Amino acid sequence: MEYLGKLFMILLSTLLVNNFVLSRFLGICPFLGVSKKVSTALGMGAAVTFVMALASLITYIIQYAILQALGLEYLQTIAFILVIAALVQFVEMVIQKTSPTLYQALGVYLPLITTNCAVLGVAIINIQEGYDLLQTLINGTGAALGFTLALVLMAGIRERLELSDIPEPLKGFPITLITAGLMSVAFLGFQGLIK
Amino acid sequence: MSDILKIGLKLFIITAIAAMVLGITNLATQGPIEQQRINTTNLAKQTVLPQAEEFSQVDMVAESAENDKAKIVEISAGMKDSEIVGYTFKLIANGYGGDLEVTVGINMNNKIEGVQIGEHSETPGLGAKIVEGSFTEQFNGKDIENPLSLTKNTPGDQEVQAISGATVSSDAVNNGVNLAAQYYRDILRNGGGK
Amino acid sequence: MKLLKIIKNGIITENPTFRLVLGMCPTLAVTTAAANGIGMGLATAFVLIFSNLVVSLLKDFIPKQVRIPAYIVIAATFVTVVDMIMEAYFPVLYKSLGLFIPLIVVNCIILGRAEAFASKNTPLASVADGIGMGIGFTLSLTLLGIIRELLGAGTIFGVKVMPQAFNPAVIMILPPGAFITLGLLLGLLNKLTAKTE
Repeated sequence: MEYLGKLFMILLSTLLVNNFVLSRFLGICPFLGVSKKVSTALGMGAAVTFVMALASLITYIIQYAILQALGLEYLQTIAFILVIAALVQFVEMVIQKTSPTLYQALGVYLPLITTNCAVLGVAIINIQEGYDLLQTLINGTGAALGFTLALVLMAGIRERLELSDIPEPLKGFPITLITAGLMSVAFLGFQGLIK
Repeated sequence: MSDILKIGLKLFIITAIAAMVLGITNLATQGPIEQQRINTTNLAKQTVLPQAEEFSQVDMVAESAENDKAKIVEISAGMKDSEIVGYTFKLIANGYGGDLEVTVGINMNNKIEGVQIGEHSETPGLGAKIVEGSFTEQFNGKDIENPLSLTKNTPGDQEVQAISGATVSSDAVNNGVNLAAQYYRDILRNGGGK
Repeated sequence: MKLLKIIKNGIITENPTFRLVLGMCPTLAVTTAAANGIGMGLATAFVLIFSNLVVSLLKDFIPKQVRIPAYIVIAATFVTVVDMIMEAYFPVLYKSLGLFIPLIVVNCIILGRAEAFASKNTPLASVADGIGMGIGFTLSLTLLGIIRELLGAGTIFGVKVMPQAFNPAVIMILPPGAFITLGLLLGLLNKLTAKTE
């Protein structure tokens, strides 16, 4: 029961309190780049969630079964990023073969995910926090859902921003960043939710 | 087919060289990194128990080393001229932003000698102020017979003033100090540590 | 002369932060203090210069089909070297930058410059590009760090500069402060350049 509670806490923490985008600054590039429309934001979110959950799992196995077993922990960064790059490529191929519809929906986002620092970030955090396999999976999924949440919220706001009268110099990135700042203030309210 | 082989081989060569470069760097920096880690722990111990010249780790009684708010991870006896002059406790307490590392020094006169905060993830500008001397030095010289408590006003004899706006962080440090004091009272003082 | 132009290009014309808007994650995350900004900037510059150099030297050796994984391996190698050196010799900085040191490898600047510049230019020019971009990135991060530290803690590089009566706006060193400061800075820059053009 206590273990279950801990899992729930991890999920809640990575989803809201330590939201990857708004309080940890991971995955900012896609957050700024792919948040113009709610539909594309959802697509990107789905692709990232899929890759992040899978990457969490595989990097966990690599860390403990290979790197730590052989005393090669210093190869962590290089091993993880290669695994993620290969994984993204692999996922792209599989989706393309098995489900053309899904590929059409996610296809364009997949190559971008390799350099999404949220993926490598979550893989490293999983190890740093010393999570076990199940916790790693929950943390990876929760972080991705938190990323999606921020992305979709932002897209919803930006769709409306399109229609409003913004001072010329603030159009584009500046107003998006300021909006993100205000969202981040709101997410600060979740701090202290978890003891 | 031979094309794929060639590409694979080239990529393999690059990766192999990369691994070699890292292996060499690792060899070269391993020593300093290890030393750095030892220095950090020793520095913390030295700060909270300055009169000690050497530290030797003490075995812990597991069931007394933990309560629901904090956990002792390491205890060392501070020695000078082969006499024990005090003990240092490294603890993990639950802060506002997660785990919080506290090192507490207690001397043989049953007083707290010093408190230092290590790694933490408290809010910058608020909870993170616990690392400042104006907060931690309040503990210096406090008696360990009774638990210390927090106050928002001018602190009394067994009280410590909490940082305004950061009660949870202040409380976490206080819990850590109290656990160290209790462990010292219950176990070390009676010679149970040796 | 041409090399100087390349360097200047990285610092001003194509400043990675303010012009290309690349590498936002570390830019926002570590600029809670000016010193962190410099540290992160220099670490990234180091990786950038060396990865540019190596990519440029190997541009005929690396097969086109696998160039991205090859660039990633090269960048990750230098990132790990920086990681180890910093842990060994700059432990304080290492702790405050934390997770964002290994994450240099996915900084879009590194791969972006390898693909857009180093793979097409001479080693010398690539190094110049790395230096320019590195300085540009470092300056931007330091500027952001100075603003946030000044308003959020009343200090610059840890030295108190604001009068005693100044009550630090803690929000500036919290996450929202990062977004808002950068947003306003970019807006200000747009305003200034719009006038001169």
